[in-house]
Amino acid sequence: MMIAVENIGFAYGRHETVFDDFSFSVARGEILAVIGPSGGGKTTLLYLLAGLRLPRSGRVSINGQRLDRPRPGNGLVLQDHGLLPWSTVRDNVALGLKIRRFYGPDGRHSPNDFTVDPALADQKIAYWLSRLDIADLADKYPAQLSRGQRQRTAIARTMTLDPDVLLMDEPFSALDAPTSESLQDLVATLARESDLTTVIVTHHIAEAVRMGQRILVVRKGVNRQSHIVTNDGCDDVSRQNPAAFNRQCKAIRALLGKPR
Amino acid sequence: MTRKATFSSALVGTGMFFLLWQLGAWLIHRPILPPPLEVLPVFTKLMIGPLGLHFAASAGRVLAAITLAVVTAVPAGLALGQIPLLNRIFAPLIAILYPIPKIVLLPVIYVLMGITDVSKICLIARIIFFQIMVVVRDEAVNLHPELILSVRSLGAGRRALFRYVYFPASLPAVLTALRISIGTAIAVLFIAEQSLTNYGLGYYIVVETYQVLLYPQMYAGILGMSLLGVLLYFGVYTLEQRGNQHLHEDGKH
Repeated sequence: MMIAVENIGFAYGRHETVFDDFSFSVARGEILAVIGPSGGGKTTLLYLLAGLRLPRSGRVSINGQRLDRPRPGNGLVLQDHGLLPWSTVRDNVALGLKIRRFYGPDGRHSPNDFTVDPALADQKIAYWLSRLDIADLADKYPAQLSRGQRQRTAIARTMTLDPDVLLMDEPFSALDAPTSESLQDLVATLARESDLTTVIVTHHIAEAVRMGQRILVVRKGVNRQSHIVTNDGCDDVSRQNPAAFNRQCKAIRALLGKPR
Repeated sequence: MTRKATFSSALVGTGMFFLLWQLGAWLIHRPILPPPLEVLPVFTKLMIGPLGLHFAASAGRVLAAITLAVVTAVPAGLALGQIPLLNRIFAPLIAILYPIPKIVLLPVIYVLMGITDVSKICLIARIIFFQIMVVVRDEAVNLHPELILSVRSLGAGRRALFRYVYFPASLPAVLTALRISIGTAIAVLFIAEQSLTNYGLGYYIVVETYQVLLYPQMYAGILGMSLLGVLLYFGVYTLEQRGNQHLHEDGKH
């Protein structure tokens, strides 16, 4: 198991319990979609996996290591506001490598085997700029980009750090349909290519069914039991078998407890 | 504004300033307002000599005060902006202290810190300190939490966050606050230099020239002080323009 969440408890303040004795796991290379209403703790769950918040009880481990701080192999992409507004696309994509160079290979802020090589870094940045199709925007500032282009920049920034886990919070939700679909395909391809263990948080049922090999449903209030829907051949369901796709959506809707 | 436009507008402004001065000198026609053509040669001559030393002393005090203010106010503002509890505790105090004219503390500072350059520098620094601390605090409060979390997830700890997020985020505001407070800083410098020192433009203007009725020399001193203000103002303005590039490229898709 790449990600193992074991019996975690988490609460905001004294009373607002979000997770209690909550467990699930994600296999290496798997894409897990997390779906639920706003206020259901999806984003909290993602921050717990990112090591940005710590559970009050239980443990989160990634690749067998207990997580007690952000881990260099984790890539996090948030919905918006993640880019430095005063830096160009190129400088934003370079930020992660700059931070690694700032600390050196200390095993905490950057991996132990990280080598400082500016030429290699430039090469990497150029590669991910063109892979994400934003090379011609390299000198623009985030405010000059569309949301989709900003999201591509954030993904490129994360990918330059060679993550093995990709955590995404509503990465496609503010995008128009064609942009969102092309980005979904891109993320699925990248995840497959780089053997990324991916967790995508979304409030969009169709998106969860399209992306997730398994789908974790969280609910409003205290989450005790993890409801996971397996979604075999998720790519095929959406494209070739609309009936199966609709059945999956319906199953999730039922779990969410929403009226049809 | 482009650099060229800034430069030409500064040139036009200077021209108009001297023209008005000349007109005033004609109209008043008394020794208290000598015409610029009489003052400028005196100014040039004195700048190479004693006035230059006074200018350097004043410039040194202001620059030291600016440095002192920035290195103390930025961390203080960041701490207030990022730690809500701290801000809640200190916000009322800051609100009360902010409008108090710090110059009235001049005698207190002299008694407590002694009559040295350090006490003068501290007095000026206090004025700039509050301006900068308040804008840095507001800037830090307004940073998106998502931005901080994203950068932390890239591996940034406290030091890297300061270097790559907090510092560049607050720099434009720091420069704006600095530019706005330069006028007050120089006014306070002028008052602080009038006594208990033998160097500085304030001392030169009041003690060495005004009190002995050397009006053209006094105006040379006033020109020196104006020059100090203008240089600092445009120096900071230039830095500001450079730092704000991302705000000026909007719409150029």
